[in-house]
Amino acid sequence: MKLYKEEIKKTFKTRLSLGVILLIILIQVCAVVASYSKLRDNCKDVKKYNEYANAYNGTLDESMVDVNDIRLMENDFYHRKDDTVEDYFYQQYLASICRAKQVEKIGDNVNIPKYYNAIGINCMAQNLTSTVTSFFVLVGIIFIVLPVYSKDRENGMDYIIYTSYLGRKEICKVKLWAAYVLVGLWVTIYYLFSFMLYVGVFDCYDMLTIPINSIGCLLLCPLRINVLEYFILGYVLLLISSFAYTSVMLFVYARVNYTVFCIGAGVLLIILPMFLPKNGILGRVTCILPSVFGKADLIIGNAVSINIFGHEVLLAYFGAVVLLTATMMINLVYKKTFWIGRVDL
Amino acid sequence: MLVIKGLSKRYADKVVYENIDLTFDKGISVLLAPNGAGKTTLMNMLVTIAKPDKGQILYNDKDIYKLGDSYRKILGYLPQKVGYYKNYTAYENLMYVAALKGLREENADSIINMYLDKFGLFEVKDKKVKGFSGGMLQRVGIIGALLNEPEILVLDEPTAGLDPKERVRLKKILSDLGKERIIIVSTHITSDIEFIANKIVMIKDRKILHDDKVDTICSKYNGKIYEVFLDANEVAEFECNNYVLMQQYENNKVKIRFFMDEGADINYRSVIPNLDDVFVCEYKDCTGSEGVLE
Ligand SMILES: Nc1ncnc2c1ncn2[C@@H]1O[C@H](COP(=O)(O)OP(=O)(O)OP(=O)(O)O)[C@@H](O)[C@H]1O
Ligand SMILES: [Mg+2]
Repeated sequence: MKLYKEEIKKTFKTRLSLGVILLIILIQVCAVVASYSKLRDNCKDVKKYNEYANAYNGTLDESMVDVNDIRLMENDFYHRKDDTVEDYFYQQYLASICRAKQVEKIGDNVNIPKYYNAIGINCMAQNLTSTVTSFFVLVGIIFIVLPVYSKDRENGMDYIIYTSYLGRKEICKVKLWAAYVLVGLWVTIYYLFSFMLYVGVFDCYDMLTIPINSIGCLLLCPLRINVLEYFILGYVLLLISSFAYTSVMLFVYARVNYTVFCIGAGVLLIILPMFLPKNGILGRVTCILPSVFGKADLIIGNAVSINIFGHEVLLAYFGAVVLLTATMMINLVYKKTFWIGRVDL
Repeated sequence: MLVIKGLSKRYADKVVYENIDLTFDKGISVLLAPNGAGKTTLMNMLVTIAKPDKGQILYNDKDIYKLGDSYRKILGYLPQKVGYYKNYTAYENLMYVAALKGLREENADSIINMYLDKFGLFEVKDKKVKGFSGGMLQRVGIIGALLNEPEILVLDEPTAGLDPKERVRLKKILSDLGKERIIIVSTHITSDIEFIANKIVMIKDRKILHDDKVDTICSKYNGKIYEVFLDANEVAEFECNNYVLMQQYENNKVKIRFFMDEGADINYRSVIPNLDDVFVCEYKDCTGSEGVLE
């Protein structure tokens, strides 16, 4: 128990790690404040938009809801670049149709389209379930896990560690779990903090229970879930991808002697998949890489599903299973070699 | 009892040991050899950081590599390059080592404070070690090695960087500990050990050169070490014909200590050989950087 504490303490004693974490959180705060000050004015027009919506009163029903139609309309919308109020309303109209699809769940009258001021939720989704967050969280992980591993070698502590009373297996295990605890803590703090920041700043607490598909600007989600569930799903995906990324990084740390190279390898692993094409075989493969996978908006994009035994399975779910299994396997099978150090054995 | 049997060790391009046998009993054994002779290599094998290519190391008749973790439980090791975390205080560093060694927190605290006091570091225990001098760091490392009260204590050049006062203190502590444990110390400074070593192991050319008590080793040079007083202008010529161990100016004369294998002139005064003499004579052909390749 005590060594866990000591290993975790290393991160809190490392200025580089603390600095990077604080910087990331600071950037996040700035992002929230910036998007609020930019979009503040748009938040006020709820009444006006509802008037627009009323024009469609009685013309909506569930038979209209064909997923392909919606996609067509979405495409149409995204290709119109002139940002008029009409456009904005058109988008809300789409959202209403989506919402209609979920009528059983919310029990609203489908025929009365209603505008929710979803700007806050929108911004939050674009930050928390997209590349931004998966990038920052993973970069944070590099620096959080670094002290547990590479500091030992840099400081020449590995000889002492490798000849000490607790035994190598035990120490490997402790270091592994210390890293996972730190990463779990980091992802949770980052995500929860950002979530509360968005909800607080945009004051959208009462929107957490509306269906995610009634939020304009987002791609259509095949799941019938509400906003809160969507973000919880995002959190779970981020957590899984973070753990997977951590096991890959630990593998690297155990074999690379210099901190700079560790950081370089880590950043490369995050950035590379982001530049790879999203379609075709390569796109499908990169989907299960941690930095791509950690984004919940993947589950919305329908392009990334694969056919397994005649069932269409979202690649994200498939990826989650693959990643978790791989992580477990690596940890179980290679537990002993995870911390090799400079020992010549 | 720690027994080395028929051990050989080579690195990619250099043979360090060839078929050596050695035994370490309770008490202080000192590895004495010049730079690059293989002291650290031998110690690394004794603490299971490196594996011998051939041969065995047995602790109480069991192979230490088979004993594995249970052997490491009774081990204390001070590497040549002491490891520490710069941003930690001396106390925190030692707490970490204590955790590695599985000490309980309450015990660790009192043992660490006891040793900090013993090694004169109690006042600075809450200072970050990055501000420590080499000798202070060395003492932190030594305390770390002692924390689990090891039965086998392996110290690689523990006196490096210590001032004379600290050397005396360390020697005293070691000779106390040596009553109960196997202590293996490496050094190339003879004065460190002359008085506390129970035995001395000298290494040369992949082999064990001497493995004996200080007196026994020195007595092999009885009647071969001499002293003479010369005028300053005679020194150069004398040096050409004899193997000079030491020279020292004393009231306009030069006192010269030298080695002569047989039949010395009656003008020369025979003196009792010390370990320094033995060391210099034995390694007179070594450059001190044998291992370095072109
Ligand atoms: N990892 C290694 N790879 C190749 N050669 C090595 C390695 N470690 C040591 N050597 C060589 O083995 C020889 C013995 O080295 P070792 O460090 O054991 O000497 P030492 O007696 O401890 O020297 P010093 O007094 O300088 O500490 C040297 O010639 C060195 O060059
Ligand atoms: Mg050495």
